[in-house]
Amino acid sequence: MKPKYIIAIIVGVLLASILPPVLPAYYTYVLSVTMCFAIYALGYNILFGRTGLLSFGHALYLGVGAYTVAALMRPELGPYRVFSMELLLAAAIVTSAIVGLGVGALCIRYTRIFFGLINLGFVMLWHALLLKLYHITGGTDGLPVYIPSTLGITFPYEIFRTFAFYYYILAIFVILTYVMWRIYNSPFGLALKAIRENGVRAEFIGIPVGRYRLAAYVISAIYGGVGGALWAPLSGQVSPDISTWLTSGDVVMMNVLGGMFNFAGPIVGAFIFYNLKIQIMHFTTYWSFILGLSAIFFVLVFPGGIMGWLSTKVRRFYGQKA
Amino acid sequence: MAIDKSEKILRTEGLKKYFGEVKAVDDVNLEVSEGEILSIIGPNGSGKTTLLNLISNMIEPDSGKVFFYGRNVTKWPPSKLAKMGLVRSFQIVNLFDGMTVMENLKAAVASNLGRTHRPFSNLNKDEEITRRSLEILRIFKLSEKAETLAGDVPHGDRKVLDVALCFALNPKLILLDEPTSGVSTSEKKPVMQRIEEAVRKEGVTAVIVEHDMDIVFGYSNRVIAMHEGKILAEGKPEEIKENEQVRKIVTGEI
Repeated sequence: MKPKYIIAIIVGVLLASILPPVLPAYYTYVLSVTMCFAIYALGYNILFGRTGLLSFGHALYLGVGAYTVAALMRPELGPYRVFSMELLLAAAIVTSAIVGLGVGALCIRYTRIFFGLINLGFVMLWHALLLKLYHITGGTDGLPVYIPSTLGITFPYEIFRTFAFYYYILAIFVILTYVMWRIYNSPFGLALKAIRENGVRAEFIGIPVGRYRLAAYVISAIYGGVGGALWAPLSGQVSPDISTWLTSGDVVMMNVLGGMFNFAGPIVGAFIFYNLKIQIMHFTTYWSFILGLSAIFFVLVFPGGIMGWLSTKVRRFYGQKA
Repeated sequence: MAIDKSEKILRTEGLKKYFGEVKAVDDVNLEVSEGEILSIIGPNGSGKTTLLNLISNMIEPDSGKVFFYGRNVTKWPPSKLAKMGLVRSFQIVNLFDGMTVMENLKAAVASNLGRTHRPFSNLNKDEEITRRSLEILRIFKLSEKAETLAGDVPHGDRKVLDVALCFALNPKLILLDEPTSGVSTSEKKPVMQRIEEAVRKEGVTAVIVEHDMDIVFGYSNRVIAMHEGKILAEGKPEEIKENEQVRKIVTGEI
């Protein structure tokens, strides 16, 4: 990594660390939720921007992660209830990986619109199951999520939600971003790019395309699962609303908005999309109208996403200098 | 995987592929010896490309078998064939257009070295991948285009890159499907020369499909003429050139 990036990252993390005492509590909470979605979007993009597979059903994994946390906290489990966030995250990684492996193995036989629609089918199926199996899932009400212990410490509700958990999520966000950055810059990451550019030729240069697509799918599922697992305690409640075709569409929007061909694109997209949504919701009930309008505006003005637009600007600037 | 050098590098047995009524490839038995350059010529629609597609398992044959060093590889996926050293180029350029020329080669080299399954190693610090990619760039005279997107380089260079990708795979047998098609007449010779030099230098066996006899005659050890899915004639380039039947059908001379 170039030194200027390392400096930028350190400055960014330091800035992010001093925010909670400075910002109103509510915004700390909003930022925490944003980071959960950023993790979800970052994972989604290894499938979408990198491997070239557009899924309309990835909120399935957000839901799998969130419901794993809620299910393991249920009072019915008695002495076996899990409150350690680390264990809950590990469990969410396992469940989302297993579901991702199963669903992915079926989906990756198809590409393009067929791939997208099969994923949509699965999230609809999952949503219906969450509604109907109410004795397990709580139906439309969902399940309550209690305060987990973070690194063995259980904070009081207000401190947890608006302060402590922010740092916890920030740490995981930084780690997962770094892991993804490594993947993008590895030979495996290049192979995924080759598959996106030309799946047929990729196979003929010796890349087992099917298996690599599945690997990318499972990685995106795990990131979705972690995003959901971190979101659940923040929300205090999980309900089927987290796993719909709408939340599945949101992540596509975040990636397109931020720039799916740029590493930071999904992160920037998640921040802008979610915060725009929150702000618009504050002053009008017709937020979806305004959000839709601004989405159209962004896509028309920045066809390569915001980061795509920025990176061409920067490259042109340095190109002229040299 | 061990390779049995006493066997022919490539052998097909009764290879057959019909598209409806059209007998694209009709009972073709073919043998290729190690180190030779074999050209397959024939008019359009004679089944040359289909034959290549069957050998490389781009499409499945109706019947018949393909042997690579005596091993039956008829049902092997292309990625596995490539790992074993049986690779092909494409008539219609088939590249990773959104990646630079260098990235195209790196992907092939990384795949050949078995590195693509490493999700956490640093590609840019992998000296072996970089060194071999640069070497291929030099052999094919593409060094100046290294950082250009494959989709943006001129057509002649794209054809060469298509072939260069095959060489990046450290091949034993290379199947070239009309390596100069779509290249302007004045460029055909230099493109072909670049490819021939590489073939000789790396000592690989090559099967070249071409509809224009003149391009391949100078470079081939042996020529096969195909017509309506069958092998019409086989021999040294001079013999085929003099063959009445071939002249009539392949070159359209009366």
